[in-house]
Amino acid sequence: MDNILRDGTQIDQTVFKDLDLNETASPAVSDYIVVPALYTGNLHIEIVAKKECEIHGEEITPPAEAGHTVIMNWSIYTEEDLMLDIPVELTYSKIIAQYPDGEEEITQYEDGALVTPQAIPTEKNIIKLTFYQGDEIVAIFNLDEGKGNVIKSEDENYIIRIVDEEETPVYDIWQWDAKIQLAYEDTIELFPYIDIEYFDREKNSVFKLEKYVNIPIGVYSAGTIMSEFSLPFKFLKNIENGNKCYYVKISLNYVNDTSSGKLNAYLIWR
Amino acid sequence: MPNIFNDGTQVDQIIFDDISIASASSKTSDFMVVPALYTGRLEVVFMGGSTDCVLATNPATVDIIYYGKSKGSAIHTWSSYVSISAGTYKKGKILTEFHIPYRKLKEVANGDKVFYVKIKINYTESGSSGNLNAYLVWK
Repeated sequence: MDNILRDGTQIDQTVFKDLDLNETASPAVSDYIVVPALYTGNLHIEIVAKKECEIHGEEITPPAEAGHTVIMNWSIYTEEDLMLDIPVELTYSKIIAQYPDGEEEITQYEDGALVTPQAIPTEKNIIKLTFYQGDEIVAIFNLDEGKGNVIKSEDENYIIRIVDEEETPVYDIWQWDAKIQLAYEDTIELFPYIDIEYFDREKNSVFKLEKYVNIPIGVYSAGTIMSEFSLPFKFLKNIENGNKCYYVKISLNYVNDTSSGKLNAYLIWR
Repeated sequence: MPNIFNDGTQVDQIIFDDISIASASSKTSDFMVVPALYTGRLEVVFMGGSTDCVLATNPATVDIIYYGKSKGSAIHTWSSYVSISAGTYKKGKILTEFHIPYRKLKEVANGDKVFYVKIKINYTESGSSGNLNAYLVWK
């Protein structure tokens, strides 16, 4: 049994040993792990692929109108830069963004040339984008009242697709890594996740912290880290008997039918 | 602005200072300098703010985005690293706490060159309200 990781980290206890993801029913629950050092905050769990692992989560069908949704009144507010995929046929030299408290030119140039795609740096609601060619207005996009707007996910980017009455795409606004709850796909695969249950010395359950960390869906080659996290303890001060935890159990929730490979999990003192 | 918790824990940096979650569906921190990342001793704590923090999404999630010194493209993004249960969190009540993971970075290109991180919380705007704080803590 391994008691030391390749980087020299000492293993305190083994949480899962050669856990076969395909043959083990979900959730895979560890034995009781003695954690007298829990309140130091120095206990960590590391989940490592023993053999190549493929791990998947539950698939669900989004509520409401699966496939797409139409929002009639909406606005954009984000602290991320929005990237505007401007129709190639649109010739312009200036973009003015109108916010609730005024307007501002947001056109971006590099060495005198327009940057494509244009980013909209904003932390405000955008009401309207007006495109100029010289002093002439060549396009106005009202962003606070869509005619029918489809939200679609493609290639892990999330797109707000503006369409006309015939559902013909007019233009796209997209944001990397944005979390838009309504996805285009008929089903969404949820992340596999970890629960941590805390017990007192008599092995009475004190609290179960559900869905604490998520494990990215995918394939992990042997030896790669699937998840790493510390055992949280500060929040226990607000839980009855939260100061009496002596054991924990770690639960790995996933879908075994679509998962494969073996993993190990370790408790580490650091 | 608190710089120390009731239990004596020193706050290293303020990630979110009593921000309102009534607007938008996510909040992203500024770049946070994390030269101590590779010690594994940097912890993030989310707490209820000055008004009851109501999270409507079950669960809300937190992303961790790692950057190099140039602040260019992200070196790595750990999407939905932790989940936060929907509910009402009063002032000072912990929504979530987690160490900033770093060991995985050894498997990522330029993973040894992280100098900044951003913390992003994702939730559903509709039905969410109130304020929250988030702190970076050195343990």
